[in-house]
Amino acid sequence: MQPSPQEDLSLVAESLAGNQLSFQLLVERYQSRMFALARNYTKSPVEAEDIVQDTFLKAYTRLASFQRQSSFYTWLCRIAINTALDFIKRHGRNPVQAVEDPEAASGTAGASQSLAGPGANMEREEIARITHAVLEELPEIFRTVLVLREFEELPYQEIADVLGISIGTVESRLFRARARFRDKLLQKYPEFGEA
Amino acid sequence: MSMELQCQEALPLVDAYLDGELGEARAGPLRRHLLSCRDCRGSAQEGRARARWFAAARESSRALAAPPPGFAARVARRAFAGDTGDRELASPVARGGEADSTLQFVLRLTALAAAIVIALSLWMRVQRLPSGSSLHADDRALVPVKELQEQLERLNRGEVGVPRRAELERWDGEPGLHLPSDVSR
Repeated sequence: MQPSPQEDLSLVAESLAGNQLSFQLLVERYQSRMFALARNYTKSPVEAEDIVQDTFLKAYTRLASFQRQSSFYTWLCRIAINTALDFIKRHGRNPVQAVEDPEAASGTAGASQSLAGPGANMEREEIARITHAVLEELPEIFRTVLVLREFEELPYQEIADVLGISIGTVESRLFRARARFRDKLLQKYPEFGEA
Repeated sequence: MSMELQCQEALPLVDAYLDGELGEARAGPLRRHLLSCRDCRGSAQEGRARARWFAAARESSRALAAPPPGFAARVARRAFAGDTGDRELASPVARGGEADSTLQFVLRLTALAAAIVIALSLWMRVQRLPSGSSLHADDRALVPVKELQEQLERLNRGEVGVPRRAELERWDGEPGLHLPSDVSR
């Protein structure tokens, strides 16, 4: 069940008034999603915990600046992604940067082969492992938009809010990101191409 | 009036259509195009295959993303204690946790043991160095050369026989040159 935005606002107000338990409830509401999000940026559960912990600590510090124009989760997502990217940079694992214009609508590297769906007998863990291996090799700008859509299942408007871009840009960036994902997946694992 | 979409216009819309993000104004023309265009229909089918792919990956990732027990309470406590999270994140070794503490203890113990061994070996080395102002390789190496020469000369002249064990043992007990045992005995 999705947490109610109204309850989020109440918990934010109570936290700002000094109620530690209300802030703990906010953390409890979103901690699982934040851990899942962080795991898209690091394989290590220990590092993921660091990222999530710092995300919530930063969120508390900046709680007064939460504008209520977007949902609390969207706002939290923005902090989490910035924290995760800072983290991997600080640990010497610079995120891959896009060398081409990520918003250029043309050209999807024109893979000649199409992606087949996962085989019925493939383990979900294996699919997740392969997916993360491919995501790791994508430029950060593509990885983040894919994570927000495919893993967090955010609507385009919320992705736009998190990334501070327009819906049109989300649409084109996602289109390019998915094409890049397919190309990279087929390049690394040609067996997943359609026969 | 409804304009027919061309493939290059339709293709970028397919993903948004599958995501349910196209308003009817754009979805209608796209649907009509898909009915008549086999290639774009193929792209839509691939989009559905990709969606199934990500759905499986998503489920698995969520299953693995359980927060540790007590995480929320711990974070809330830290937040209210003034931890801002704006700091250099500690390395995994420097973090808290029982396993990390044990590892740190073992590492410190190893470092301490290594330091003791080095100090001990230095101390032993210093003890073995000659002391005083003059340098002697070995006090026992002061050779009674004259005595030895005389012995050898007498031996050459046949005045004496091979030194007896008692004599050699006497030399062993005195400072001076010691004959190699395999030569003399």
